[in-house]
Amino acid sequence: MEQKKLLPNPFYTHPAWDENSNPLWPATAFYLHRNFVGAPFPSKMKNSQAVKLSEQITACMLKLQQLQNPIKFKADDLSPIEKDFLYEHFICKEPCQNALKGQSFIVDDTAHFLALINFSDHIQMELVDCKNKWEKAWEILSDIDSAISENFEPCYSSRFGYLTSDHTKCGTGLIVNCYLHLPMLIEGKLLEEACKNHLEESVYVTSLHGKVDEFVGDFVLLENKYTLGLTEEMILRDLHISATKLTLAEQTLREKCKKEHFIQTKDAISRSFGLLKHSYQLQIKEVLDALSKIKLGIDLGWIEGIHDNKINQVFFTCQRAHIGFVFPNIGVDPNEITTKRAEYIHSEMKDVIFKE
Amino acid sequence: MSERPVECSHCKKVTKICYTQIINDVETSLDMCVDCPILQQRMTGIKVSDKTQPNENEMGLCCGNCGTTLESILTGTPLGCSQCYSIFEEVLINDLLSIEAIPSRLEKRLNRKKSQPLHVGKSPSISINIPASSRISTLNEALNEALKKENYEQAAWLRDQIKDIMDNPDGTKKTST
Repeated sequence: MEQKKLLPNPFYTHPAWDENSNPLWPATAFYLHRNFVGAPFPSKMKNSQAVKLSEQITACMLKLQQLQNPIKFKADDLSPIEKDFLYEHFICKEPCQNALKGQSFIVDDTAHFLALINFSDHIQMELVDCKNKWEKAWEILSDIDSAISENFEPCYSSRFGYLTSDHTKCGTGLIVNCYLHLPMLIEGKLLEEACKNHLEESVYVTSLHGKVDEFVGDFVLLENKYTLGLTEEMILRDLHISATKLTLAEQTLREKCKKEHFIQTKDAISRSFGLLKHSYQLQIKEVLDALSKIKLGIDLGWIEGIHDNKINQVFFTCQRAHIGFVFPNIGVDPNEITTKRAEYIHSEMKDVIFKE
Repeated sequence: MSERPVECSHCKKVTKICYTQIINDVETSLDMCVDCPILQQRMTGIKVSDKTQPNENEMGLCCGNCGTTLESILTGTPLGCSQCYSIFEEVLINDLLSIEAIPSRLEKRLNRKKSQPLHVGKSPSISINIPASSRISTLNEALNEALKKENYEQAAWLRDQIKDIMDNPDGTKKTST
């Protein structure tokens, strides 16, 4: 059955991260959690309370000048595939596919902003920065927060700061994720040492799937360990220092690889090129891992005919819900999805050349 | 490496124990924390009430506003309202300390003064703007380090980053795609 496109057009025409061409640091996501006085936190809310608060919050947010043509969706306005699409687009931390009555979503035309209403907290905002403009991203998020606070008094105490339903997020309520593409450090088994040398005490390492033994797509996520006891500026500074040092370590390896033509790296890129070009069924993990090598190959000058930001685009579009919008009549059969994914990858890779 | 610790299947604390049970030849494994009340219950068949855990009276502690119980908090259930923070204050702080969710320098201050405010960031009445200069100073530090090591490629890359921020501090310039 053909999927209706309910989200703003930029979601379909400009997948996440496609504005970025930094090969090492494609995006940073900022999450802000808030609850408001006058209602229990979502886990203890009655249905009628949740519906009422959701309507009040969304009415307030739809007027915000910081958002570009904001639009709200109640939980049941969106189909499961559309919710999955949002989940993939924003690499959500919170599963939003099973949204219930009283929960809603707000997005805008930038396709970089998502607000989840009445999920774990009354509001959880996410802003994705792909232009490496942290101060601007924080300013927008902070302005939105202040504007909402004018209408709704936030749950706040001087001891614990902003009060969240998960006490490990109280304080600033700010979680920041830096997405770093570090294939050379991962393949060379040097990531652990690099983290030991370069990571600030207040910074964690994790992966797209929250595991630390497997970095799908060679993406390393840096996340702040503390929301309490550090200012927002300190959180951002520590992450920026850590991310800068790790990307420098990766870049040093890449420069060395360019000069010395590491045969293992060349082989890995060549194999990935073959896999993406000639497979008829592709699982998501193998695609993400292979795209990582193509992304690396572009930076090393061994892959031509495609740009780095295009790879970022393919990285999102090859995922299950996104594929559903590329091939509108696709079913739910996993075999069909893997086949269509391969077909989509072939079309995107048709002009790509591996330089011998 | 400072990795995100694996969380207990029940309590969201750092896991130390892998609990494996075999029932009718079906083997299941769960990662659990040392203090997990579910683990204690499975091992002993009775609920926890030793000295490291709150006593029985405390276990019956409940938020009068939303009905959240201490027991549910210990098993990782989300807090139900803002009053839970004052009712379960000590338990929450102990938990934050045990999972190392508070910076170590603050931990020392906390030991000295129990009522120490833990939050130092933005408040509803005070907003915090972050100047681009803070990122430039980070990059400058890295640049000096690279120059000291005579790594001129890194230095050039860092100089480009600094120039980019200085040329366009508010991030309004469109990036060509």
